[in-house]
Parts: sequence; C-alpha cells; structure tokens
Amino acid sequence: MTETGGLELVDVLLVEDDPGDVLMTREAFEHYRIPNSLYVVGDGEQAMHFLRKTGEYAEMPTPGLILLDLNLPRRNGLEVLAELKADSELLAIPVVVLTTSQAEEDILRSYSLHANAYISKPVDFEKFVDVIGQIDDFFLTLVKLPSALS
Amino acid sequence: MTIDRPSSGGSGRAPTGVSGATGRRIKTSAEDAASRWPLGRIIAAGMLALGVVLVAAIVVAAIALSDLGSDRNRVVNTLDPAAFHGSQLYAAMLNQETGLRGYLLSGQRPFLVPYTSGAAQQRTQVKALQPLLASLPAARADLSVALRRIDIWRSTYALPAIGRVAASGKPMPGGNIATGKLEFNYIRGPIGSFQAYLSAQRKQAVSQLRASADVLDITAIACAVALVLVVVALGIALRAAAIRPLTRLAGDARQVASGDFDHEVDPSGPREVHTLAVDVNQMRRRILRELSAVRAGNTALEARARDLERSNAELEQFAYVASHDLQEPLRKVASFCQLLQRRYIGQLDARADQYIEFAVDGAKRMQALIDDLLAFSRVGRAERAPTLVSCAKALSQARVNLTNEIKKSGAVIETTDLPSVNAEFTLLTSLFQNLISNALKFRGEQPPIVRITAGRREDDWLFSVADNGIGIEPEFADRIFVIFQRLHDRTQYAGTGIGLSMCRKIVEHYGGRIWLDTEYHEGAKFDFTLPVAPSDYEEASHD
Repeated sequence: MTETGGLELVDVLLVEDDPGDVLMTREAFEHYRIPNSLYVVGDGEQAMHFLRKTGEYAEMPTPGLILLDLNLPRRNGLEVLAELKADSELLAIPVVVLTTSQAEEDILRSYSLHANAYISKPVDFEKFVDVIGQIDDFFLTLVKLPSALS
Repeated sequence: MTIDRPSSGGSGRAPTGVSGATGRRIKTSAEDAASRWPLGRIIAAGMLALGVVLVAAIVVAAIALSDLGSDRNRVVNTLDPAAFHGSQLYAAMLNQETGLRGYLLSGQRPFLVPYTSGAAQQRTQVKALQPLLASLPAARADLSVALRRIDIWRSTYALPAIGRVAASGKPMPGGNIATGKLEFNYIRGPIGSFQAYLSAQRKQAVSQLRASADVLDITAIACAVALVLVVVALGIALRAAAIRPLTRLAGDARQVASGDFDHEVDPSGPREVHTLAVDVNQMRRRILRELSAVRAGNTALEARARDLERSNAELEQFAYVASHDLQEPLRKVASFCQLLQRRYIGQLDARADQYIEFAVDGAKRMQALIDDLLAFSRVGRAERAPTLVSCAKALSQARVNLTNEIKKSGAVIETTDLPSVNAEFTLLTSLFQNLISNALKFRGEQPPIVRITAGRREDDWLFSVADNGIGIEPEFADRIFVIFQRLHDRTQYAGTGIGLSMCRKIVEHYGGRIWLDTEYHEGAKFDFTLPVAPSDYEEASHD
C-alpha cells in the first residue's frame, strides 16, 4: 500500500483481457493523476489467484477495489463475481463491473450477484476517461472502503 | 398291398392343402355379405310363416263355418219345418177322421166340418212339405205311401160312407165305423216312419253341427297358439339376428368413437348390420390413416416450430454478439483515434487531423447503428408481459425524454384524450418518442406543432401524429419504414434511420398497423392502430 498525506491509498485490481482497454485505463489514471496502484490480470482464473494470493501472486496486496470486465477468457466476469462474493474473505471488496455490454440480462445478473456498480464502457474515449475519473472520485476519494480501516 | 402313410408326400402336398383350407376359410367380405340373410329377408320369412299359418287357419275355419251354416240351415229350414208340417198333416188327418166319425154316428151335417177343414189343411200341409222333402228321398217315399193310403181311405171308405148317410139321412151303424178306423190306421204307419226318419236326420244334423263347432273352436285355439309361437319365434330370431348384432355393433362403434381407433368392429349378424360394420371398420381405418397423417404433419410442424425457435434464438444471439463483440473492436478504433487526436494534434499536418476525425466519426456512427440494431432486435422479445398502459403516461414520458429537443425547437405538442392499451410501457414510450422526435427533426420554418389524437375505430384505436414540418412525398410512404433507410443527407439530418422502422415493429408487435397519411399536405401525418384492450370491450358492451 502506498502512503500519501497520512491517507492509506487502496490498491485497485483491474480484471481485463484487452490490452487496449488496459492501456486506456492506465492513460485515464495518468490523466487524472490517480495515485492508487493499478494491478492488472488478464482472466478470471488469474483474478482468483491474485485475490487468494496463490502461486505467483503470493506477494500481492489485497485490493481495495476491483474493476471487473465481464467478457473474459477461461472464467468470465460473472463467474468471478459469484465466486468472490461467496468467499467471506473477499466479499467485502467493492466490485465495479466495467464492460462494453449494455445487455439488460448482464446488468441484472451482475447486481443480483452483488456487484456494487455496473458501468458501460463509453465508446467515446473522452467519456471513458471521465468515467474513470468519476470512479476515482467516488470510490477512491469520497467513500470509505473496508480495506482502509485496517 | 399298400401301406397307409398319411405323411408320405406331405412335404410336397401340405402347402397346397393348407392354402386350400385357408382359401376356404377366409371369405372375401363381398361373398360374406352375399351369404348372409338380410334383415328384410329374415322379417319376410317370419311374416310368410305367419301368413301361411293364418291362411291355413282361415281355410279350416271357413270350411267349419260353412259346414256349420249348412247344417244349421238344414235343421232350421228343412228338417224342423218338415217335422212340423208332418205333425200338422197328421193332425189334419185326425181331424178328418174325427169329423167323419161324428157325422156318421150323428148323421148331422155340422159334425162334418172338421172333416172338410182337415182335408183343406191336408192339402196345405202337403203343398208345404213338397219342396222341403227334395233332399229327403226316404221321407218323400214315406209321404207318397201315406198320401196313397189317404186316397184309398177317402175313396173306399170316407166318401161312400158320407154319400150313404147323406142319402139315408140316418146315422151309420158302429160296425162300419170300426172298419173305417182300421183303414185309417193304415195311414198312421208311413206318417210315423216319416216322423221317425226326420227325427233321426235332425239328430244327425245336430251332431254334425256340434262337430263343426268343435272344429271351429280347435281351429281358433290352434290359430292363437300358432300366432303366439310365430311371434315368439320371430322375436327370438330378430333378437338373435338383429338386436344383438346391432347392440354389439353400437358398443364397438361407441368404443371407436371414444378414441380407441385400433378397436376392430365385429362384422357378424345380418347383411345390413354386416355392411354397416364393414363401413364402420373402413371409416375407422380411414380415420386412423388420416390421424396418422395429421400426427405426422403435426410432428413436422413441431419440428419446424423448433427450427424457427432455434433460428430465432440464433438471431437473438447474433444481435447480442453484434452488440457486444463488434462493439469492442469498434470502441478500440474510436478510442485510440481520439487518443491520437489528443496527444498528437498539431504535431501532424492538417490532413492527418482530418483523417483521424473521419475515422472517429465513422466508428461512432457504426456504434450508433449497432446500438439501434440491437434495440430493434429486442422489440417483441417479450421480457415483460404487456399490461394495460396509459398512452397519456407513455406520451408524457416521451416528452420528458425529449425535453431538450422540445425546448430547443420551441415545439408545441397538442393532444386529445388518449386511451389505455395493452403494451409494454417502454415500447409505447419509444413509439411516441420516435414519432415526435421525427416531427421535431424534420420541421419547417415555423416552430413545430405536433398534434396527437386517438379515436375508436371498431376493434382498434386509431392514433394520428400530425406535424407542420417538411412532410414526406407519397412515393416514399413505404420506404420510410424500412430499417436504416434515409431520405436525407446525414449532414442535413442526423440519425441512423431506424426510428420509423422501430415504430412499425412496435405497432405490429401489438397487432396494429402504421402508415403515412398521403392525403395530408400541411406536413407529415402518421396514422397507426392498436387493438382495444379486452377490458375496454367489456365497458363498451355494458354501455
């Protein structure tokens, strides 16, 4: 965890298989000068390894916020969501589903699996950057997260 | 000597024998029908038997009756009158003899009166007897003997004695009278025999009468017994030949009718019942055939329905894939073009900036097309059941969604009372929103005025959305409803061209119709129908 001005900054885990989206998210973090560390994994299985600190992820921190894409290889986002919300160690971590899908069923299923927010990735890059900025404002600045209480 | 070998050559002959046997056993239904007695013939045979019995009875009874008649006739019209006249004749003879004797003994004329009246009576009786004795020769012979003796008595005794008394005027001595009496006794003999004969004849006739009456009685009883027997026999025959087979047939037919089409109908009984049973069997087989054809057709239809369902599901899957998987790379193209623009604008030349702009614009437009296509494909996926929705509410939601556009254009939206229809709120809202947005987009010089009205037209509500905009040429009345068809340059009027096709899909999804009113020239006027909700029907019928 990074220390800034007495405030403990939470780490952010991005579960995203598309390098383009990863790059755009990084650009947005850069643009808003978001100080939180951004960790990236490429599929649902790696995400679960990261969260349970197994294998190569043994040294990794527990993230304070998860940005989850739904369309993932191996194990899709909804499966990851279901699994981590069924795990008492992990269920407190807020999950923001960030995906291209605008399908009603995806939205409904995500919320019924206790996603904390569902956000469609805007097509427009400017708007995408705005969205990342708003996530930062809300989850990383405004609200108190459980991981910040340690 | 030959040894009896029943099995020898059996292998060669047996098949022929078997086929011959089965050939005999199995009759074709036509032969079968021909060999059966029709019901009519059974009844006719019964009737014939009954007729024969009746005719025989009538003949016997008629003979007995005629015998009875002739015997009675003989007794009443011949024997009894003959006996009566015979006794009268005897009485007449006694009168003559008494009168004669009185006269001879007294010599006085008045005593002779019974003699003369008796003679007259004798003639009358003989005259009456003559025709009656035509059929009784023995009696006739007796009578002629009697008459001859009467003549002898009269000529040899009576008349000479009367002459003598009349001449002398004195009575006759008793001795002569005794001689006369002796003569008269001769007459008694044949008359007595005559009467005895008649009496015997009568006795015989009466016994014949009795015999005839007995025959009549027996005939009547026999006739009654025969009638009862024939009726009972006919009843039993009808029961066996008609009622039982008919009952069985009715039972079989009922079983078939109740759906057991494999139940074979037993074709036994008289010809009519057999024919009927064969017909019922044929009908049953035909129904069975058609049923299996219908079942096969149904199976094919079900298979087709399943195919359609699958293809629909695939289409939906395609729409989803198009919306999701095609959007990803598109978003990439657009986003990184924008990133390029941001980072490197001014560092490249103006032409490069323009290239990037076009690339971004194209990607965005494609994005909009994909979104619209997805929305279009979602109409009618029935995620929610339609409920009774107020059109007024849907319209006000549409106005809320279009707040900016309405404000910007200074539009006035007028509406009359709108009914409630069975629909999905979001789709109904989308319908009004698309039509109003269309009116605002294609406005003329003046601020737009949109008039929305509704009225009952038989089983439908007829809605109209009229504006004062640039209007649509009648030749495009059909093309405007085709998806992504546009009448104008994209730079002039924005949009993908999905609005009206979306409207048509929504209206048709609820069983209505939408069209452009080509008679309206102050702008564009769209008419559409939506079915009247069943609850409104009830209200209407109660009025």
